[in-house]
Amino acid sequence: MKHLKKELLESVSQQDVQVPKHVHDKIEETLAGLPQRVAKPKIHVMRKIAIPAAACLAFVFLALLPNISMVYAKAVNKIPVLGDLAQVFTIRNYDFSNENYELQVSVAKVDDKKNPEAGEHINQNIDQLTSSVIEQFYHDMELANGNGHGSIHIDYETMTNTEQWYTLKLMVTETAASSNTYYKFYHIDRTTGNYVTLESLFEQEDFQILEQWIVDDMKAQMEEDSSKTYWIEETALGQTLTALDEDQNFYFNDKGNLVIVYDKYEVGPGFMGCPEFEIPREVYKSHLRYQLGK
Amino acid sequence: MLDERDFFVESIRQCEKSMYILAFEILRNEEDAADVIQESILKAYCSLDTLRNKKQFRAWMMSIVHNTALAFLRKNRNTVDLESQEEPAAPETDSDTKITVWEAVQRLRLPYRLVIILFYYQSCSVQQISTITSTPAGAVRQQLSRGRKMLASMLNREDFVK
Repeated sequence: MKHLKKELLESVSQQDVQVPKHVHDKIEETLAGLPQRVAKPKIHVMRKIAIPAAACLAFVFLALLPNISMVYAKAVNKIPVLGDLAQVFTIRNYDFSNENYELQVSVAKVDDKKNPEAGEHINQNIDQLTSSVIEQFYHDMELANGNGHGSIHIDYETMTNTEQWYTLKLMVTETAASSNTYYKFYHIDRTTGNYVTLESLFEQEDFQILEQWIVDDMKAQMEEDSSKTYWIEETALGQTLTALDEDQNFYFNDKGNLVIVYDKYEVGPGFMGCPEFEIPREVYKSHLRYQLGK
Repeated sequence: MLDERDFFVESIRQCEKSMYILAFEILRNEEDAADVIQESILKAYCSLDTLRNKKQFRAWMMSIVHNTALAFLRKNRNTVDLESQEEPAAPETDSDTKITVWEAVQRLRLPYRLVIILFYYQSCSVQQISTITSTPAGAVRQQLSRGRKMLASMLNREDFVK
């Protein structure tokens, strides 16, 4: 991909799009016809001071404090302790709101005493993701300089917690002019103690079997319901957006079926949300790298 | 010192090419792009008071062109959704055909074509693209990532040579 970025940048220097003369002339004609304006006095001093100050204060009292205060940091255990099962805690909450911006983040920590390495891997990933989203939130607010608006919500949910398997779902919702929601699923195979990705379960070549099943399901859904839209044939060359990669979001539902989850806008227009495709156990089972417990 | 009108005229001239590329990439028609730019200039001039930070003129102006172009599409082509816009007809290809990066970019569908062009060819940041297209920054990053993957696939498949 680095090579592609280099090619793109080289292409930029080679591609010199010129504005056609008739378009340029029309712009000049429009500009020439603009009437004179009378500038209105504006007072932005308070806003210029107030917004960064509010952001700084909020950062100190609402974001920094939870990290250094035992009271704030006191965990809220969302899952009752059940024997040997994994536990998940809220170790930090980040809250900020003003007239235009809102931030609500619950940072989860997985405690799996039986599989501490896999749990730690998940915790580090969650920390990185939430830190980067929060950092971007404050950066965007500062850049907008009082003109923008937006909100970020991050929460989590334990989807599976058995002696064989653990799945945590992280939910991120960003709202600006429109909203975007995306998920991140984390899995521990508690029989092996490993952190699990789709690539842990299937060979790369078997991804195509799953992809084909999804494409067929997309077509069937669209035929049955004309309001549904999926982007199947993406380009003139016939490639599809449904291609799975090693970090593809997935989970196993209570029927034992494999559910592939795409991000919003990834395989369909925004109104389709985050599409999910349930692949029956009998379709994927024979392609697993190893047989899963239960 | 520039007065308000002089500032506006000068700023428009500086982003003339950016406005044209944006409008043309959405509309794929020079005449329509010219009409949309003209309408956008008038709209922007009338609402110049709402621009609080003059340093953000380019992103602000581009967002007006973007929205005006989409409104034009809806009005004139019965196209409701940017994301559902038909991709342009692809030229005939065969296994021996070599395509340039620019040609590959042109084969992308919206919104991927637009974000790739704004990011690489117009040097807009993700935040600026988010502002221009009224799309959350996370979605812009996803579209950029997807667009790059599609380009890589197209170029590899056709043994791209620059």
